[in-house]
Amino acid sequence: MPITGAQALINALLNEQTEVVFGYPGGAIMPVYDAIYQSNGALRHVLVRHEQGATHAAQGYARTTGKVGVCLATSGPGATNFITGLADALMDSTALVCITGQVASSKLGSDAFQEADVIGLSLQATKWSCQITDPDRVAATIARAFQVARDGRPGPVLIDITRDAQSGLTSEPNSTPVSCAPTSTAPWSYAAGHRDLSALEDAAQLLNNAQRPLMMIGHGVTLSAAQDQALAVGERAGLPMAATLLGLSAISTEHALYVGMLGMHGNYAPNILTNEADVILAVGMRFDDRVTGRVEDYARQAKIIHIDVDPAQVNRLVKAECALIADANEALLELLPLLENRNHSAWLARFRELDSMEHNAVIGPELACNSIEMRMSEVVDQLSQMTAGNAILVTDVGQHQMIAARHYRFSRNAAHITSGGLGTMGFALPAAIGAAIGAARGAAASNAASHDKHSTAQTVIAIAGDGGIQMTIQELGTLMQEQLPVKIIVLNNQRLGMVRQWQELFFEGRLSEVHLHNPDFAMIAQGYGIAATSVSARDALNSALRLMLDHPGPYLLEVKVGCEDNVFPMIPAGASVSEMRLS
Amino acid sequence: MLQHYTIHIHAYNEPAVLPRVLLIFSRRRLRIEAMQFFDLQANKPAELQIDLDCAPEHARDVLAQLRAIVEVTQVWAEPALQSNAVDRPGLQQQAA
Repeated sequence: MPITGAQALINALLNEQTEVVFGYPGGAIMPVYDAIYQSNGALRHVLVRHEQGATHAAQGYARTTGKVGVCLATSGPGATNFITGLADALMDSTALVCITGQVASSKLGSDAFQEADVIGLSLQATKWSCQITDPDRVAATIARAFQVARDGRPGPVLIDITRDAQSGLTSEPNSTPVSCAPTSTAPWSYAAGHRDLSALEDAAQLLNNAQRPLMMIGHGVTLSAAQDQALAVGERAGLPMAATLLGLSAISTEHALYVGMLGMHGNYAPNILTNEADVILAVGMRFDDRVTGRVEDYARQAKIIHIDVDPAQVNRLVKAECALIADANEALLELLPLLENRNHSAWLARFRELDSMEHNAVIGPELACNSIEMRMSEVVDQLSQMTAGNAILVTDVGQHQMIAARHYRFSRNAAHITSGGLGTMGFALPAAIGAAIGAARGAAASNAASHDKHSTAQTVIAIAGDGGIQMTIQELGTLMQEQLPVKIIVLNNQRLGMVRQWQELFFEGRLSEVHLHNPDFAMIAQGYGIAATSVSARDALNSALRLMLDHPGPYLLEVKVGCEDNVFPMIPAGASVSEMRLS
Repeated sequence: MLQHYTIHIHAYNEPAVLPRVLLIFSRRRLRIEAMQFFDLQANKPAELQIDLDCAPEHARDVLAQLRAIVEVTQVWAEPALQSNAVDRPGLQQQAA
């Protein structure tokens, strides 16, 4: 018996093992919502409060589970509200399938009510997009969308389905799984199928002969679940290992070879010594401007081995001596047996010397607790101790993001979720909602495997500033409705802190529009039925954090911190990594 | 130093492909001087030829980005770009 295009969509999502979709209904997507209703709970739907929240929640879910995140919205404003999340997911290589309703195909291009050309609008923000006007194309297109989203460098896909394609009947039952193998009508891209490990022996030789090697761990290591392989390569070749912002947590912060975070507000040693390393092994990273500083002066003395699944990223900004185009896990697996056991203790000691300088100049004073007002770093440091580095940390964008990245000592893989490339304020709260659903799913699977009834999901903690939290604060409603145990820490300095810092340092202290008159965040959370408290005294911080962590449900903790703090070390914009400032 | 290039793109002619290709040029403020489009056989890749003057590093970057478009099957430039890790294994050989 034929089914509707909307029912075919639900079947196609279920065929892809989709368990949850994040969405918001509206006129042009109503047949799909009717099909969700009729699916009798086969597909869990999380009703967000804004479509941007759906995309970020799907990102949090995808990055916690390694699965494709799925979100739904109606046409027009619903679809345009997806754009920020799509762009964010494209920059940070997150696999999403975002589905939008569209006006009927007979009305396309007529400026109909809530019509927006979302395919056109999203071209620069998606890996692939496709409009469906025929119910018979639904199953195959969705299958292909999932394949495109997750293969090669993961990214967001947008599928726009016209109202008549949703409500029209298919000519086939359309309930069987659809193969999306490349055919003449379903071509597959050059980039996705591209693999080149021909420089493997050259890469091994460079590493075996290196005197001052440095390994850079990027997001690709987490995306390909290559943490163990990265560790094995690093340990075999004796490589000091640094991480990009999105590479954090792939290697335990406490590992003997871990030397810190790269980038504008990263750690002193790996940035300074980038320009002294003779061989750099860069894995699953793209040398973005926050990592390289002034690219003309970046690692000019080094021979660079670049492993990336996306050939478009190699030799784009930094010339590589050896390019290995492959999934990080696969490339590292093949590289490992070619490596000789090496120990670069004198070179590693250089990192530790610079670590000491950073500790004496920055970290020590920040954690000395001798300022009148609390500092963000104290909060993150205590949180790190109390959770033993075991939480999934979801951060927003700004000063608190850098502080969290610098001070949280990650002990588990894939435990750091943030908006790295696009830098989207408002990311943390909805992404934490998706991450909590993903973490619960992981815990359920783990319980089933181990028969451990007492194992619980990793704690998900969103850290946001007072600016960023207000960009998506309505998602507290989603949290209330879903009763997810997300812990939210609002580090409130009553400023747009990073902008204020730059105005102080680079605009001669002219503070322009960075003062925020804020609401009572605890009262807002309580209005949503979420337990909350606010703390401003240092001696109350520990008990407030304990109360938050022990609370069984969602919780918001506002911590009032000093408003004039700056994040150091820092590579000033346009400067070389070796010009990093400690103050 | 600007150089004249003809960029050849083979791609399945689906609705969003042409704008995706063109956006890669407009995003870099590259001015297209001439463009030809051949879609001769159903279910076979169409060919797009784009002429422009640009720096070699821009041309290499454009080629890499064009290859990332899902429906694009083949890309090469005339004159051939200096060999580098991106181009070394691939498309120029395929074109030949």
